[in-house]
Amino acid sequence: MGYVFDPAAVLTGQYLDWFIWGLATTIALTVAAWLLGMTIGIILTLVRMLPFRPLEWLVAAYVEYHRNVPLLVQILVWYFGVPQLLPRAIRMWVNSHHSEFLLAMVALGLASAAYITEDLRSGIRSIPKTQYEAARSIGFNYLQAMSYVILPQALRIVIPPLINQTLLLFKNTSLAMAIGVGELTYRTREVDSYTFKTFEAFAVATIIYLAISFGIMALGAFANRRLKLELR
Amino acid sequence: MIRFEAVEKWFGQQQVLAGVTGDVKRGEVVTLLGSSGSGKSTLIRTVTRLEAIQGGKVLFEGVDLAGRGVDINRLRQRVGFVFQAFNLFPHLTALGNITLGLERLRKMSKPLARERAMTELDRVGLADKADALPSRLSGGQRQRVAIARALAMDPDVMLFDEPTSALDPEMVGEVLRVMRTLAQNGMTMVVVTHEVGFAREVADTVWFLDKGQIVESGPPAEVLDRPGHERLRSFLAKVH
Repeated sequence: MGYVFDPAAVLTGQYLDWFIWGLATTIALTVAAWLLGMTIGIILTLVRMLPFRPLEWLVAAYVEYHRNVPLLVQILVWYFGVPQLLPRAIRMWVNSHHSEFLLAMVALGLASAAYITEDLRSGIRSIPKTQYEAARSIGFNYLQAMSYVILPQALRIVIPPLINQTLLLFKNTSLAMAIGVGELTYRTREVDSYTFKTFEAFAVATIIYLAISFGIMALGAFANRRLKLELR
Repeated sequence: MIRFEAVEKWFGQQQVLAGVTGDVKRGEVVTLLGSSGSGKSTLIRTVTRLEAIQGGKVLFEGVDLAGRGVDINRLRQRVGFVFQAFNLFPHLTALGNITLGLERLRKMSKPLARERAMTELDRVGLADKADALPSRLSGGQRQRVAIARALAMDPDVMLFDEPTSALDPEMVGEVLRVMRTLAQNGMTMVVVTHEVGFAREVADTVWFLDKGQIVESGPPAEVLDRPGHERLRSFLAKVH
């Protein structure tokens, strides 16, 4: 074994650029998918709480699909399957605008939404019904009561599980390499195959992933401290 | 202003309102007395349709609340409701609790809503607590903020559902004081309470409910000092 561990070899010139590009793509994918996931997650939560059973079943089916089918399969379905269903004009547009990034974002965002709506629902359930009554008594309709009174409290309650979902989402962006998104893991593989410095390349990736994960956790803990509901 | 016509309400098999008929006139203070389970809280909750009814009618200014054309959200803005457990929004300050409805429903500008909310807080003696979260307020203070929150919407009538029952004894007085002032200023009020003293002093009319019916009603002096009904006599003996 004459292996010499030399991280500097993968942190120079174009390799460093690849890591930086990979990191930027990973962050962009995380942020975009997170925003999509939160938006869809909140909408699903509002829809499933409406007093109309079939909508509830529909959301339940959505949640079960996204939680029980491997994420990689979902990503592949979006990349290889869904574009075929689109009208030609849209397909052409998507294909010429980084379709792999867009479709990975959609797949990751929709999967996150399934987890987020579950968290949000349990958060909403933990808020006493009297809060809803008080909001309605002032004259708010269902949507207003939800937006101004119930959701702001539920979101504060579910900050810890949402941080977890964010971490999972961040790590799961690495699956997007399967459809050729140039995110951090994809770029790391590239650096590896150009330099044969496997340990160095993945050591760098590992440190970057860890650093960002800790960053997300710290940010979450900070948000939780600042926004935590004082009930007593 | 509010008229109950043979109102009936069931929770499953159990009948909680068994044909309640009565009138609340503008400027009147009506106090509802009765042991727990007599249906008095349920009755005032029917006025804002927090409880649906299965028989009879509830009319607000002559309009049937169950009618198709009724905009319940608009109507609720005209009816202030104060809960036993205050139900302040814990994520908002005292001021924020009051400005929320003003900004979102009355479409007031922020400064205007703030000014109005401060007026209401001042009225209940809590102007200095404007920026406090509910968790930092005592029970009596929370209930006064809740009253201010309801008043800020300029209601035509205020409903109180046992406003002092969740309070420590030493805080009951401050809440009753606010309510008394309100009554003196001509607010129409319906108050569910166990405070017989308040009923005697402030109410124009007392309704005594038993098993979902008004079994006695009239001016407090009459109802409380010469109780005709056996149930009322034993109730008064217990709460005194």
